[in-house]
Amino acid sequence: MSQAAINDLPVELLIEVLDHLRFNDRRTAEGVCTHWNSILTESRYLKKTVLHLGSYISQGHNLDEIRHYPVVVIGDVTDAAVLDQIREFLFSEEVSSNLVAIHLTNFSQPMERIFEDPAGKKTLNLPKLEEIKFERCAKHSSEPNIIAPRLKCVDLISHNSHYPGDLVMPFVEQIQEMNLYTSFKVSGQLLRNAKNLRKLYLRIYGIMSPQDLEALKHAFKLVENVNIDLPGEDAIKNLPELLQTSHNIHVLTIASSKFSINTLPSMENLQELNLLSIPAQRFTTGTHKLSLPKLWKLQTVMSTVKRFVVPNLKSLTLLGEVYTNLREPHIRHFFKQFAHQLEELDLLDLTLSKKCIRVVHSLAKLHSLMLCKVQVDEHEVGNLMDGLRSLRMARFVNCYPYTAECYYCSCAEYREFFEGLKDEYDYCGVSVTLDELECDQCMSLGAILCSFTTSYQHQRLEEMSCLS
Amino acid sequence: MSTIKLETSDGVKFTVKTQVAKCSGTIRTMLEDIGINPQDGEAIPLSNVHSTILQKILVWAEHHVDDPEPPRDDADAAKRTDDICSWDEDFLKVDQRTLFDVMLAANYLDMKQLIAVCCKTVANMIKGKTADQIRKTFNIENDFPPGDEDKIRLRNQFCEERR
Repeated sequence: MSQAAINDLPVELLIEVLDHLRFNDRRTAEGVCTHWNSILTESRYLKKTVLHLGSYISQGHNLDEIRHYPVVVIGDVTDAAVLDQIREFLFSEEVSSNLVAIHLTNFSQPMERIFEDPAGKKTLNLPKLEEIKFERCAKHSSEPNIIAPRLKCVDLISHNSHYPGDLVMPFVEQIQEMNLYTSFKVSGQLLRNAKNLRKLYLRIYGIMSPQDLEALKHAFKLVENVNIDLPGEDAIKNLPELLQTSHNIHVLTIASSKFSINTLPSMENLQELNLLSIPAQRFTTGTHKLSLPKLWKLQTVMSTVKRFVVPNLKSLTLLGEVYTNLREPHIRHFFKQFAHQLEELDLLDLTLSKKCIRVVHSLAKLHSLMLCKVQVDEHEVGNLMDGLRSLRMARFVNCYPYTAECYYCSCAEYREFFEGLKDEYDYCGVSVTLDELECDQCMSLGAILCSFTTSYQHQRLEEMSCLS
Repeated sequence: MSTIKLETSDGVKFTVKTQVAKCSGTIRTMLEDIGINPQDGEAIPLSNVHSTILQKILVWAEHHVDDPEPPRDDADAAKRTDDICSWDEDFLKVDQRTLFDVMLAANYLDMKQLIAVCCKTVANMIKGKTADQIRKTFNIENDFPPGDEDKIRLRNQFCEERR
């Protein structure tokens, strides 16, 4: 019979083993033997790794060692010799033909310094480049001589008028994803000519000119997924108008504290809506009902939930503000309509009374429940799971009883509940995270509890990705 | 309950419930697609599997025969290794040679869930160790030319996980 050793395994099995390692263990495993090294330095793994090119070169290390890294970050380099080396490095075919992403952070030199051939002859050819990120960078002021047919994602953080706009401009039409943390003026210039934009993250400020508004309108008509944080009143004022005409938006996230739900238009194609960090009083005034016929996932402040008409809802996240009492009358009627369709419920920063637990128990199709920083009456905690027969996954993240010094030590009901979960639901989809435990004894208990989780989470995530 | 016969590389014959044998994709294909008729009484030859290993694998298959289909594999999902059930954990408390022989046989027999749980077990043996400790654990020879290991270590100092 055979006497197999690990390196006798066929390479596909060894890959499956190494696939289970996280970043730090992967780095260690690269240095075990040449066979493992050759597997772990394939581009599939290296794409998950960022190489700090600037500091590597600054310290005079051998460039041949790093030519196969597809993701590089270049920090603030001012030394002329190092800049020359970076440029030569980027221009060498072995490197440029492999690059997938370039991140520039605090790069204070003109971009031409590394992206342009000083003799003006050579073109920088980046056939695999997909992503470029500029974080507080200087200008690029000439027409770039760069070919990047697969560039589709641009990340820009810029707080002054100097930004590498000219470098991006020739690619604007092909860009599918933009993350902009900058002024209206800069955003307007980039968005005006977008053609294939699908995903947009906006955190923009300043004064919005009529031209900027036109550019935003144009972009909003293209995108499917928008995440907006507009701190200025001026911009928020125009948001309803922008959303009114954007029929492609499927996923909308608004994180602005200035926005009022009363101004949100009905959006017939919206499937996911996340309203974050909005003070409750903005919602509670007014009776305006919001109809979102295709919405299946909603995340919002608890007190607003009754304002939504969402017949296809499957997933609900209710946010409180530091232990807001989840008031049973608020949710009873809303939950009643979804008793046979709601599959996921996440509650954050809330307090659950006995009555509320009964309302949650009425959800007959509930598959997944997450409680994060939720207080449950200590006399009720033992009954929490009993009414939830269809549950496949439950997560408890830092849930405490009302008052306690070390809540875990001092509250027998909670301890019993969590330990009972471990026995009863071992490997059936329950996870408990308690990372704010106070005393040593409880920390070790917490570690035990944290270690029992299951593969159902994966299954659930997969189902969700199928739906979206 | 229908049974079939399996014959291992060392000529040992096993009589196995058909349902249990079908945990193996290879055997399932033979029975269903190629149309080998188990009633003929002839044993299916498994020329790559030794009897001691097949015996072990059948114990596993018997225990997991009613498991639901696993979710489809998602290559990009972070792969966990802390979800091995305690029965499997005990089952795989064997010497390394047996573990790798089980993996090779499971691979030949196309038993995806058994392979997965073995791979997780091996990954757990790697996690948290230094390169030296890993080599010692698995008896791997350090075949890097002198200096190369230092180069890798140095290079990795400039790397971080992509967010």
